[in-house]
Amino acid sequence: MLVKSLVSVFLAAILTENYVLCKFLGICPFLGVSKKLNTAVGMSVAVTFVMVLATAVTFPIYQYLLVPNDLAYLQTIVFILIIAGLVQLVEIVLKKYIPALYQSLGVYLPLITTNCAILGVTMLVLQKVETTSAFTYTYGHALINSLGAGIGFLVAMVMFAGVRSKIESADIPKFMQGLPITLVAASLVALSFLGFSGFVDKLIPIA
Amino acid sequence: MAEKKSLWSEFTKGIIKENPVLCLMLGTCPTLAVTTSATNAIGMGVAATAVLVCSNAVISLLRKVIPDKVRIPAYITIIAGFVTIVQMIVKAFAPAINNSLGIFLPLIVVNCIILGRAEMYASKNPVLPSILDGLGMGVGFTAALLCMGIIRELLGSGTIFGLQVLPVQILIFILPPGGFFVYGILIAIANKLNTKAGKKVVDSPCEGCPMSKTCKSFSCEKTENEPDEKEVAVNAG
Amino acid sequence: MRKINLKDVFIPTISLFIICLLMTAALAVTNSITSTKIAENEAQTQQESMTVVCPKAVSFEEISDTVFKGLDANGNVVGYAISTVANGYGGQVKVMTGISDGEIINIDVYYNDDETPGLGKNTSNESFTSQFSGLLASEMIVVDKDYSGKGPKVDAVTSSTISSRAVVAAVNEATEIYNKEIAGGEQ
Repeated sequence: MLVKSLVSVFLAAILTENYVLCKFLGICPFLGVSKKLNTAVGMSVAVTFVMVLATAVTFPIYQYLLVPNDLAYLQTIVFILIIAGLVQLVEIVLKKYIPALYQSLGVYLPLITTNCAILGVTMLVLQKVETTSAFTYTYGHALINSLGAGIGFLVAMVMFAGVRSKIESADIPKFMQGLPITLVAASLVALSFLGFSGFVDKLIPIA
Repeated sequence: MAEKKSLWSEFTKGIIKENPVLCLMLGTCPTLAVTTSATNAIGMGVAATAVLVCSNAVISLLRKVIPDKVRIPAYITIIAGFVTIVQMIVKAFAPAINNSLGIFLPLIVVNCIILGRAEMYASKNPVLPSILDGLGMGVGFTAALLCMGIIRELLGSGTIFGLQVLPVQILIFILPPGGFFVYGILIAIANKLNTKAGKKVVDSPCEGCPMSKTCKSFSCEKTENEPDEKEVAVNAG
Repeated sequence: MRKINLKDVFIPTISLFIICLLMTAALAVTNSITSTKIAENEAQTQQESMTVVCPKAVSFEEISDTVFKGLDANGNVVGYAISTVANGYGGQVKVMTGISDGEIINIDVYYNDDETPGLGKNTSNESFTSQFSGLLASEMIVVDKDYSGKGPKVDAVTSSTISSRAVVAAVNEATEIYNKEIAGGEQ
């Protein structure tokens, strides 16, 4: 039951609730950093890492510090400061102790603070605690959910980098070149993700 | 230039010439997410404008007090504070709008338009022009959202502001793919008009991004002719 | 060793701290002003919804956070309004179910703003909700897609099976609460 619900949360976060293509979170990096495959992967890994870390910190702070003290209204301000601080901390730690990883991920970190997907995930995960009725939504579910959200971001980025490399060689009318054709391509990729709706519920029914 | 005229241009530049959504490619997430109806678009636009004006005013007021080292966290704190205030007011007096904007209301915090204006404008200019700059950018943002909202609502649900206009509904326009598509077409039109007027066309969301300075050389792909600081400043003035 | 200038460390820290303090104070003030109004709004939405699903009642008595007893002018019980939540397509779907004598009077989908406009949001339309009126609380309801030939079914809103399923799940939860806590207690 627990494993089943964890798998379902994980798959749903990647496919049916894809943060980029279904919820419109993190569009800026999706359009800006998806031109080359290696930068797309680097950005997604950094996002996934910070997402899980941010959820790991904000979830207990909200549940055990803000809510019991009637301070839930401070959620936005506390979360954004935690994320900003966390990103700085990760950057310093990586630079000092794992320079190889810093080389490949470090450059994306400053961008991530203002990535709405991170703040969005930490907030949506908390909403799920109240709304999930089929099973109890625990800390573990929250972490798996943010991991899934990050991987969903990776899937979308990698797919889209592939699509964009095809656009490069296509003959496009001048006024559609650049962002307009990228957005139309994004629209078609999003269309393909609509096909997943209801997929996870059917695959792993929980009741 | 006369004092009055320059103040006026601070206000109007955000609406057309430097429209944050259609020309600077900022704030793409809410632009795509909340424009499923015209009412939502206005709600989002007004909320963001309120935050933009307040944060610009306060940041401009404190621009000499905030130490340079901690300016970004300080800006984020101020913006987050105003976002929460606006959120509470909307919740209290327009609960329907709060429900339909959902998570995107608190997410105004990470809307790059607001941090971008704080960093690029309010931190360097006096209070009054900063307020006008915020107001202009806010109105430009609202106008672009409204434009998207009307198109998507009309095609997707056949209504405008909830009034039935068209007998047919092309549902795809209010689903995520429709959002990307309409946005793409609108930018294509804006580009066409801009090229006709002989202006430079922005083709990456990174150029207007407040973080672009830190990452430009690494992650965001370079555009053919990167505008340098001076050029941007001249255009803005 | 590099000498750390105290001034360079303290001034930024203190000014950031003061800004945080001021913003938090502003939030606390706004919160104290708006919180009563927000609570009132929520209570009003719930009240309106209860009246829709239990039209005979003039007042409601709270049994628990989610279960309300509807009373007529003379204080007789005319039905129960039960509020339940389920997961829809985009987020939560909140449903108020009115039940009287083991039969559903009416339901009201009073929150489904996270569902897709034009699709899942149509679950709050009367053409969908009226299908529940008169169904028995003792039976599990299913949407037409999941129908296996037994028990009551409702037709899902076109291309919104997930949102429709969520509403059905919420109603089933309400009937379960009714059967367990109210119908059982009355006998």
